[in-house]
This record gives sequence, structure tokens and C-alpha cells, in this order.
Amino acid sequence: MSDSSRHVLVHADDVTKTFSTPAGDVQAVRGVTLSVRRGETVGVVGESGSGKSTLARLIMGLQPCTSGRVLFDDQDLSTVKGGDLRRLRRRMQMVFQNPFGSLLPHYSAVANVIEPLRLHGIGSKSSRRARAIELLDTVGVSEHFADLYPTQFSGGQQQRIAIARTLALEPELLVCDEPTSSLDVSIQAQILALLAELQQRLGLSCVFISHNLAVVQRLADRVAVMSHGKVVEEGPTAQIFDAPQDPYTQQLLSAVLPVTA
Amino acid sequence: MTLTQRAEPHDPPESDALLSVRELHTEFLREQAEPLRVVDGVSFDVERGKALAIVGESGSGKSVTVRSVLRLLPRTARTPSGEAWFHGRDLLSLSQREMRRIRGRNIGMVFQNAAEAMNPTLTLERQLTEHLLWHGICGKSEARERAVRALGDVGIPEPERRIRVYPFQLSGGMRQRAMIAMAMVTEPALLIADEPTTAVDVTVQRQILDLLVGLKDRGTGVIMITHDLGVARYFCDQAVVMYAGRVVEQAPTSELLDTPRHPYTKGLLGSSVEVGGQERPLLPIPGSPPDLAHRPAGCAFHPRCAQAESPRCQEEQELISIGDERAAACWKAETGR
Amino acid sequence: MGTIAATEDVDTTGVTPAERPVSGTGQHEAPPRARGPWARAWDRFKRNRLALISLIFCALLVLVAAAAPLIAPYHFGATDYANQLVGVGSEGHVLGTDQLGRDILSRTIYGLRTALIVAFGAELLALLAALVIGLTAGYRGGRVEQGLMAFTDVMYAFPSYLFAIVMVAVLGRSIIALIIAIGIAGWVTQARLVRAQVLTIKQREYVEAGRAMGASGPTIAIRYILPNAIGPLLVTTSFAIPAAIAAEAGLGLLGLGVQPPTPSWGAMISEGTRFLLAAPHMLLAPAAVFALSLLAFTWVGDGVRDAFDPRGEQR
Repeated sequence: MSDSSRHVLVHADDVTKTFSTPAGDVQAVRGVTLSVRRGETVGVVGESGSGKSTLARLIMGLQPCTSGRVLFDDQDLSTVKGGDLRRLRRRMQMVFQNPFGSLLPHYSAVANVIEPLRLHGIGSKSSRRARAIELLDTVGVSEHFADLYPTQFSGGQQQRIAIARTLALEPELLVCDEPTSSLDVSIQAQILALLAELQQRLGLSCVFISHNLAVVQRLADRVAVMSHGKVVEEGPTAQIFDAPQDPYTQQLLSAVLPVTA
Repeated sequence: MTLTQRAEPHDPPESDALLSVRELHTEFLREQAEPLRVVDGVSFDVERGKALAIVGESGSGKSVTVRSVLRLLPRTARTPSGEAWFHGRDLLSLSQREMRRIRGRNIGMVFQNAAEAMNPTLTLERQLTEHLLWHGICGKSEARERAVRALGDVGIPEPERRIRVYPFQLSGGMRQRAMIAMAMVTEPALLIADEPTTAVDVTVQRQILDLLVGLKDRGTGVIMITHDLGVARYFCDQAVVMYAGRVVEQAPTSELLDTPRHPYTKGLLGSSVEVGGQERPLLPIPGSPPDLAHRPAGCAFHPRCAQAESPRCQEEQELISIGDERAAACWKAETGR
Repeated sequence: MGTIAATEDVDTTGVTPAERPVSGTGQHEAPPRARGPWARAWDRFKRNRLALISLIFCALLVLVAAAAPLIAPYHFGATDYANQLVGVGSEGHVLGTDQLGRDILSRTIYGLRTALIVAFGAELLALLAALVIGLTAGYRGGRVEQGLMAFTDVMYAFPSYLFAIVMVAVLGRSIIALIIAIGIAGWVTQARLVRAQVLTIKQREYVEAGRAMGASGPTIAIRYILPNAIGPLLVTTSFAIPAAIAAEAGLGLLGLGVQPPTPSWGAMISEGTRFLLAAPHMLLAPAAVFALSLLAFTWVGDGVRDAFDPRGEQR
């Protein structure tokens, strides 16, 4: 997977993010450089507070970098403003950790999926609805339930709806921030299988953020290990898991508890 | 909590288990509806110096089960029948006053989120010595000594200094350890841990589990509620798998995970991802756990079960013994398919 | 270790089957009824009998107030000098007359009209001001927020009755003056509430998800945040309405109400106390209707509060 001629879709170039808090400045991300090539899935693993979620938001342009820059298809996100930025957002979408929290509670399932299409003025009212129903079907939510509201669905179904919503704009990049960590084991497996299938079928480029090493190993082509805001090790998935070089990566892997003997 | 229609008198079962739960039923009262049966005839034993895993997904009734035993249910819940034998007494028939004497003194509790379970306005010292003083176990200076020792035992550095801080001044991992220290300071015979490592990182999880192994070695019996099969395998000797309020399989943990007999246990294993297992195809269980208000008739798992082709699957499934130590609530389990 | 968090395992909030999450297994079962946040709030409101009856009573009050010229037997200013201070049940005057021979029933009905116009007008004004200021402050943040909230705090510190006296002094004794006086006393707490709500909702993932989808600031503020902030606001508003009715009566009692002869319950009660021994009915009718409507509006408020209680909303 180390075909260097493949085009880089998004490139974080020495990005840092510092939050000012009453207790002083907190450096959430310190000098991270990371690129995602087209069609590739990059896993970011790390423990809580390692800065991985902040990195996801920097890559999405949801938060400005304190220093460094994020290039999306060679455009510096910090130089793109207002309407242009909103249009650029069509090409990158995000799946959040808490599916119920990320769906609009006062919109029905189908209205949630329609919303990005409406925002970007894609299609007519009826074609948008048809497309949204189709997307819900893709992620395994029956048309029968399309008009129900988020609270009427289980957590797994909510995450499916959230995924359908991100697919509506046919993004090139999908950033998943702990998409299964609030779900039960059996539901997590369903969502992982769905994401893996969508990745393959749509050729999505993906940033997959998780504290769960096994999940990342399953989905990612390359892995970056984060600790205290820095990437301590990065490489092809097999290399990171089979021959970790950094002591922190080794420590993480040795703490894993096997399920099967 | 109300206890109704309890058969009296009754005798303790003839096992030498530390805790014996028999046919526990718990229901939640609802407005304009039948009470909702959340725990439905659950039985298990916890041995001294051993750990029992209660495994299941959210809504399976695993937390309600232990809270029923501890008599820590919300007001809307009741336990119409069942027994929980501990030191020769049925916890479910004790008065609230007697129960308070046992909780905290003979039975310690650790929860998923220490931040919510600890009192933010009291220092660790106050919270750690509270039970010792309240139960009259020892005097003030000895209580303090024991509290410091307990903090040291759980691996909190500089316990003499840390005992004066408030919970919010500790990191998540340290707070979780402090809660374990709080549960252990009275040296209870039984520790109940409800997802104690779910909210902490893997490296801290490993440390906390190793700490609990030390307790087990000193003779403490542990009930560990978890949805993480890796945690169950690493720490627990025995395991019960719960689904929709019932035990569907019970076995020594390694046997359960090596040769699962109930289709749901198989499904949980097929759903779990683990490091090094990336070549194995994921086999998710279709659908979601049932809504207890509309429990499927017969075996509650049959609508999601890949092997439910026989009409027998729509009948109630009793736990069937398989060998001496195992049981599964599936008629197919006997044949080992 | 004293407190135990509610069990996460089971939902005990008494949700009806229609509110339960659907399982993914049965693709062919009939879909449950779609129930959004508003529909669920209405479902919960309906279950509260007292609130429902109170709501019907309040609706009746509004109808009576709106149709006052049709319903009231006399004009509120019409004097019948032949029948001064006659009692309840007199011919032509069911609830009797006052010292000028004016029909108490008619004056009570017109008093209701005054009370409701002032109360609803004032709360509408308060709501609009609170929404604009609270939403702007909460969503924009920074200097804008500091400025707006400083202004709100100054207004908060200002005694509301004093303000009402000033308003009446400036604008004269009119309904508009009362609406402004009571409305301005009310918007301050509402604005603070809106701002607090917006600050909370801003942290929700759906707001960030909205930005990630490419939604603009106003879209997020008005389409995503506002509808979710409005529930608690509706609760305080429904409690503010009886308070405004009471305030209108209070100002009338102090002689700061509407210009006589336009009836106000406060003024009627105040007059009634002067003839308490000779003609107790002058006090009783307006006082009884006043008390009943306060109670009904408050019970509706209770129902609205329970309907928007966030219990059972988080899944």
C-alpha cells in the first residue's frame, strides 16, 4: 500500500493545536504531520487525551490550527473562508462517536439525511427524498422507518443513519471519530462491517480514529500511534502491529487482552 | 424497595459458595402497564477467591442483577422473588438497616465511572475512612492508617499526600484506583465491579485488573460485570452470559470462550474484534437486542439466531447442564452444534 | 460511596411502546408512528389530566376575552343609576353592579380581556427580545456576548415595579405601557435562559455535525439550535403568563393599570375592598375569576414543564 505515486488527498503539515484554559495553555496536538492518499484508510490510535479527536477536527477544518496547515487536495484550509469553505466541506464528511448526539433530534431520519443535500442545494425536494431513502437502504435502514425520529431508533440504527447522512454528499474523505465506541459489541461488528463494505465499494479515503487497536487493525491500511499530542510511530498496519518500534506502541499492544486463546 | 410474597422460612443452599443467587426476579413498575420483567430467574454462585464475569450487552439486565442483590434499585423497581445467600443470610430478606451494615463493610462496590460515584466535595481521606468509622471497625487514627495503606496498595504514589486531595484533582485512572481503594479499605469478602475498566485506557485497564487479581489471591470473591470478553478471559474464572434478563450460558470462562455452546455466545465471539484476528471474518449478530416490553416469545434470541430453523426455537429454553460445570439455554447445546 | 447512579441498563421512565427504539430485525412489521420531540411533548402533556382540563379552561378564557363585546351583556362603561350596588342574582345583572351601577359580569369579562391582552402581549414581547438577545449572545460569543449580557444584567438589577411606574409616567396609563412595562421586566430572565440553553446546545455533536456538513452560522443558530432551545423557554413562558396576569392586576391595584373606565381586575378588586361590607359581590366575582385563571394557567405551566422534562429524552 506504499504506492507513493498515488495522489495525496489530505495532508496535515506540522499541525499544532493549543487550547487556552483557565488553568493555562493545553497543547492538544503538537507538530503532527500526516497524509492520507486517495482510497486509503489511515488509522489513528491513542488513549484518551492523546489529541486524536482534536487532530480529526483540524483535518476537517472544524477548528483552526494554532500553527502548521492542513492541505485538502492542495488547498490550505485556513485560506478558504465562508461559502468556499462550506462548499469544500461537501468533499469531506465526518462520523461522530455519539450517533444520537450527532443527529438533529427534531428532524426525522430521512430529514437528517436530506439536510446536507438541502444545504448544498442538490436536487429537487422530491429527488432529495428519494436519494435519502436510497442511502438509508444502503446502510440497512428500511424505508418503513424513514420518517421516525432519532430517539425512536437504537444506537446502532442511529449510527447507520449518521453514516447515510455523511454519504449523501458523496465525499472523497470520511473522518470517523470513534464511530463504534458507544455501541454494544454485536452492533459494533455490524457498523464495522458496513464501514468496511462502503470503503471498498465507494473507494473512500478514510481517517479512522479509535482507542481500540483491534478495530484499527481491521480497517486501516496505515496506522499512526498518538501519545500526548504527538505521532510516536506511523507505518503500514502490519508493520505497526507485528513489529512495533516505539516503546509506547509496544506498551499499548502488550496491554491488549486476547479474547480467543 | 418493596419485597412481597417472600416464602418464609427458608434455608441456605448447601453450597459453600460466598454468594449464592437463586431464581432472582426483578421488575420495574410502569405507568399504565404490566411491570417490566428485567431480571428473570437468574441464579449463580461466586466462590471465595474467584471471579465471576457477568457478560452481556446493554439492556441484558446484568447491572440490575447485581443492584438487586445489593438492594440498590431505584424506587420503581422491586424484587418479587429470589434469594441471595451471603454468609448464611439471605440479603433479599434483610432489613434496610442490616443491609446497610453489609454494604460497604462486607461487600465493596466499584463502578464504571469513579467521577460520578465519588463525592466531589469530600477529600479521599473522608471518603476512605467513612465506612471504617461508620461501621465502628476501628478508631480514627487507625482508619487513616488503613486508608493510606489502601491507597498505596492500589498503586497511588505518595498516598500520605494524596489522601488529602479531592477526587477531581486526580486523573481518571487514579480516580478509578481510589474508588477501588475505597471499596477495599474495609477488606470486604465480596467485591462487585460494574464495568470498572470501561472508561479507562487499555494500559490503565491492565493495571487495574492486575490489582484486582491481587485481591482475588487474598481470598476476595469478585463479580465483574463486563461486555469485554477479553477482560472476562483475563480476569474471571467463571462466566455467565445474560440476554434479555436471563442467563443463556454459564461455564468456566476459558471453556465458554473456546467452545461456546449458546448461539448468542457464539455471536458475541463472532462480533468481537481482537488484535491479531483481522483475518477472521466479522460475523455480526443481525438486529438489535430485544425491547423487554416486547420480548420475543420462547427463546428471546431466536429472531436474531442464525440457527433457529426449528419450531422448538420458539419455545421457552431452560438451562440444560452440559457436563458438571456448564449449562446453556438452547436445546441444540446438548449436541454441541 | 453513598450515591448510586441510576441503572443504565434499563429505561424506567414509563415510555410508551411508540417511543421505543425500533429493532432492525423485522423489516416487514408495520412502522411505529413517527414521534418527533414536539409530538412526544404533546403526548406527555395529554397524559396529565389536570393540565389538559386547565388548557381547555384557558382556551375558553381566551375565547371569552376575544368575544367579550358579544358575550358581555353591557358595555363595561355603561352605568345603570337605577341599580347601584345591587347584589348577585338581581334582574338584568346576574353578578350585580358596582357603585356606579355598572354590570360586574360585563366588567369582569372585559377585565379578562385586558388581563389576557396585557399578559400575552407582554410575554410575546419578552419572548422575542429574549430570543434575539439570548440567541445572538449565546451563538456569537465573544464581545457581542459580553456586551449583551452586561446590558441584560443591568436590566436585571433594575426593580421591575419602579420600571413600570416610569413607563406609565412616560407613556400614560395605556395597555401598550403595561405590555412594555411587564414585558421588559420579563425578558431579562428569559434571555439569560436562552443564552444558557444555546451555550449547552452549542456543545452538542449535532451542531458540530452541522458545521461539518457545511451549514452556515445563521442556519445552525435558527434551524438547529433554536428549535431545541425552545422547550425550556416555553416552560418558563407558560409560568410567566399567570405571573403577568398577576402583575397586571397588581399594577391596577396600585392605580397604575389601564385608564378607567376600562376595567382591570386589579382596579375592580381595589374598588371592591372599599365596599367590602356593603357589597361583597363587587370583590368576589373578579377575585374568583382572577384566582381561577391564575390557577389554570399555572397548571398548564406544570403540564408543559412535565412534557418537556428531559427525562427519557436522552438515548
